[in-house]
Parts: sequence; structure tokens; C-alpha cells
Amino acid sequence: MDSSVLFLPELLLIASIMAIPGLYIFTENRNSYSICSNLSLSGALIFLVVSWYYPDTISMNRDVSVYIFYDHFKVDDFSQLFKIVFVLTALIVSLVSTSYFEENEPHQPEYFTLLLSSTLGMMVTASANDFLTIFIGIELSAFSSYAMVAFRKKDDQSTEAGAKYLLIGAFSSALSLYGISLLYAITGSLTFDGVEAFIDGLNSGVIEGDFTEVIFIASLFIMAGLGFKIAVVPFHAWAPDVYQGAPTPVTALLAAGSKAMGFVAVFRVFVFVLEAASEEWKLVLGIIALASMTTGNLAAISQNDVGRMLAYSSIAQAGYIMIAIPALSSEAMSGAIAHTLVHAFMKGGAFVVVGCVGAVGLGYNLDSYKGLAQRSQLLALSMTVCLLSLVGIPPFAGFISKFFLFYGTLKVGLAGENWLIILVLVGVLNSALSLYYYLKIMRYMYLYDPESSEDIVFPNTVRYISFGILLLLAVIFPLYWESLFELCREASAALIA
Amino acid sequence: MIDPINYLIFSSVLLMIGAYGVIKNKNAIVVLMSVEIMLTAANINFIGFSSYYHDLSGQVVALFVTAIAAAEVAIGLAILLSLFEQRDTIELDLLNRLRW
Repeated sequence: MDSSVLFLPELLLIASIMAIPGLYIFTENRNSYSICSNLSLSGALIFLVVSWYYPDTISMNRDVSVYIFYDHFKVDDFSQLFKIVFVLTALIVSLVSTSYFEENEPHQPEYFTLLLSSTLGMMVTASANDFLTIFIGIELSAFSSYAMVAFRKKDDQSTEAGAKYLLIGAFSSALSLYGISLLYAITGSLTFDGVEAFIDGLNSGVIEGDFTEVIFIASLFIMAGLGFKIAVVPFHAWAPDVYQGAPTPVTALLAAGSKAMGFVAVFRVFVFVLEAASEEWKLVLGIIALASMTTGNLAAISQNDVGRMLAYSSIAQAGYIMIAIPALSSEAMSGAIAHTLVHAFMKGGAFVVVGCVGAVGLGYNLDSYKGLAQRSQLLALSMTVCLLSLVGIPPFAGFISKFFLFYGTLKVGLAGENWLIILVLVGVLNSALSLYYYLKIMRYMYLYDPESSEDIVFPNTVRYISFGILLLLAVIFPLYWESLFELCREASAALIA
Repeated sequence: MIDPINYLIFSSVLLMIGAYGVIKNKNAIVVLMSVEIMLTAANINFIGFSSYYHDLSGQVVALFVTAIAAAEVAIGLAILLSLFEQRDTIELDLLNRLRW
């Protein structure tokens, strides 16, 4: 079959982005929007899995990588793996949203349209093969999420979070665009291959001139934009406010999907394109990693709002993943990819529970988790597994991915780059430190009695999704860790090749 | 033929003006306008070096960035409008209800 059929998942999303506003005109039924979005997302998910991992069933050849749209769109192991994660998170968010909204919540069609267009932006980013496409993908996803964060117009916190997110986001994306323009000024090319060939030419002396400082400055500018998306330390200030203020399903999308998208962009730009740029640059990335895991964990300890605490823990997790980028070996990269994947599910799962507890009226404070185990064993257990996974306690999924990440980096460190060992050591110490605040939530859930004895019914959709995530983190990933790692290794091979 | 260093000087001055505006101003709309100046700075580089290299892709980027900037302002004004409806102000110093 023609290779452009691989664009079908994106087309499916585009179709329903256009269909949902149309449904709003033709039908009064509020469920139709969520059904349309769920259907298109599950269709895209099924097609992604089948067309890439079981290509024989629809008589396709799986080439190593496929280029469509005049080489602007690259489909390979790396992009497809992350597209599956994006679509899966969006599907979870879409399912949870229905039970999170009140019966007559206004602007539902807009919400689902924005959710789908945000996912579309993430998928475009994953497949981007030049700086223009990656920039447009990031912006498409970012603009949709600005509007989603400020989606509850009457909610004071939601609007404030939206305004902060928008202003900081616009500023940092302008900075990264300037960095891209500097790269274009030096290399005269916008494709990843062109820029990489130029840098290789500089290193091997084919191209004359000394552009080290300019490339360093351009990388700093680009890092400012991408660092905002993944919320690493100098660019993290928005994250706690936005995670706390936004409607919780949107927070789940930001923490799981948008963050993974930022890492996809970082991997593409810094591992594939700028890998050979300079030694100092690795040091900068190492310092960013160190600072963000320490700051994130220290700041999380004193938080009282669970959303805010998880936001700081998310900053720390970004720091862990960042240590693989200076290491740059294919093993460290596959560890980083694995941890990004698993992080999407653990953070998504935690925010599903947070959103559910908030939506039934218990609130978002630590106190509202008192005695959650007596109210719903399943939700408490799911939250516990997500949190233990975030710490990296065996046998949960977070342990496996974090182990690969640290092991891969440590190996490079022992092979000569000694300063990487410090990064790994600080990472391990930070994991121990983070146990404190995760255990605090668990203590509130299990050891205290509920503050009121009223009966609270949790919506069924949320319980099924929590159960699914629990199963994924506690059973499926630990049992099939080899195939998970195989997928990540293929992805990192596709990335570095 | 214009010496390409002029593009870089012009664009970096524009970038600095924009960044100064973002950091210094208290009014959210002025901040959005300053971000537009920063995007223009990047556009100057793209267009200038596009003509220097005789390569059209830089001009294509400039067109896309213009469209993106328009979308950004549309979303930005919408969010700031709903902020104004609630608080009767868009002073950034007053955005302090989300804090620890």
C-alpha cells in the first residue's frame, strides 16, 4: 500500500476535529461530542498499533522509516511508539472528562475539539523531520492547551492559570523560534539532516569556520522553549500554578501527554541534531538535570495541595530523564524513552485519581485524602501504585524504567565520563528523598479515618480506568519488561541512526 | 547585496526590545505585543538569510510564523478577556491567587 496511508491516524483526528463543532449544530445530545472523540481516538490507536507493529494484517511493508509530505513527516519506530502513548493518554483524558464535567457544563464541544487538536499537535511533533514542522506541532498542541487550561471561564483559578501559562508559553516559544532562526542563519537549512550534516562537517573540518559559540547560543535559545514544555528547572515556574489551577483532566493531559511531547522534541533536537555540538553543552544539560531533580523534590515536600505536589514531582522526574541526554549512548537513551513512557502512565494515573476525588467534592488538599481507602479501595490502591512507581520501588513499572535509565547513564559514566556518575548518584538520593512526600499521601489514605461519614459514589468510568492503569503499572509492565525495553531500544536506534 | 551581519544586528536588537518589554511591563496586553516583536525578530533572520542563501524555506517559515502569531494573539486576548471579566484588571502583579 502507499506509504501515505500511515498518515491515517492524524487524518482521523482532523476529521473529528471538524466533525465535533458540526455535531454541536445538528444535535443537542451532550454525549455525542465525547463519543465522537473517543471513537476517533480509539480508531487512531488501533490503526497505529496494527499498521506499525502488525503490518502483515493489512498487507503493508514495515520499512525502517517512511517519509511522507516531501520528507517533512517522518514515520519511524520512535515516532510511532510515542504517538501510541499520546493517543492513549488523550483517550484516557477524554474518558475521564465525561465524568468530571457536571451535567450542564458549558462549552463541551469546544473542549473535545481542543483535546483532539492538542493530541494532533503532539503527533505532528513526534513525526517532525524539520524545525518548521516541529515548531508548528508544538505550537498547535500548546495553543490548544492554553485554551483548555482556561476552559472554565467562571473559575477564578482556571483563568489565572491559563493567563500565566499563555504568557510564559508565548515568551519561551518566541525564544526557541529565535534559536531556530540562528541555526538557519548558520547552516542555511531547516531540516534535521541538513543541520546535522553541517555540524558533522564542522567537526570533521570539511566546512571552514568557527561557529561553536553561535551554535551554543542557538541551543540555549531552543532549550528555553523546549525546557518550558518539559518543565525543567530554570523554566519550571509555570508548572505548579498551572497544574493546580487547571481542570484536573487537562492537568492529566499536560502532565502525561504534553510533557512526553516536550521530551520527544528534546530527543529529536538534542540527540539527533545537536549531539556533536560541544562538550560544554553536555555540561549545561547535566546542570539543568541536577538542578531540576533537587529543586523539584525539595519544593514538593512542603506542599499541601496534591496537584501542586505532583507538579513539583513532575519537575523532578523531568530531571531524572534529562540525565540520559548528556550520556548519549543508545542504552541510556532507551532508558530515557522507557521512563518517559512509563512516566506518562504513572502521572496520568495519579491525576485521574486526583481529578476524581476533586470532582466528587472532596477537594484537592492533602486532608481530603484522609481515609480514601475506606471510601474506595480501588482508587487508593491505584494511587498507591502510581506513587510507588514514581519513586521507583520494585516491582512496579517505574522501577524498571528508572533502573534502565540510571544503568545506561552509569555505564557511560564508568566508561570515562566520570561526572555522569555524580548525576546518577544525585538521582538515586533524590528518589529516596521523594519517598517522603509520596508516603505522606499514602499515610493519609490508609491510616486516617475519613473526615465525614457521608457515602460517596465514585463514577464507574474512573474506576475502570484506574484499574486499567493499576494493571498496567503493577502487572503488565513488570511481567513484560523485556518487550517494553525491546520497543524502547528500537525507538532509540531509530532516533540515533 | 546586504551584509548578513546587518540582519543579525537588527534582529537581535528587536529581540532585546521584545524581551525587555516582556520582563518590564505589568500589563498583559503589552506583554503579548512584546512577544510579537520577538517573533518578528526571528522572522527578520529567516527572511534575511533566506535571501542570502537563495533558499525559499526561510520565507515559508516566516509566513507560517505570521499565522502562528495571529493565532497566539487570538487565544491570548480571549483568555485575558475572561480574566478581565472576573477581576476587572489585567495587571500581571495581581495574578497571585495561585501560590503556596
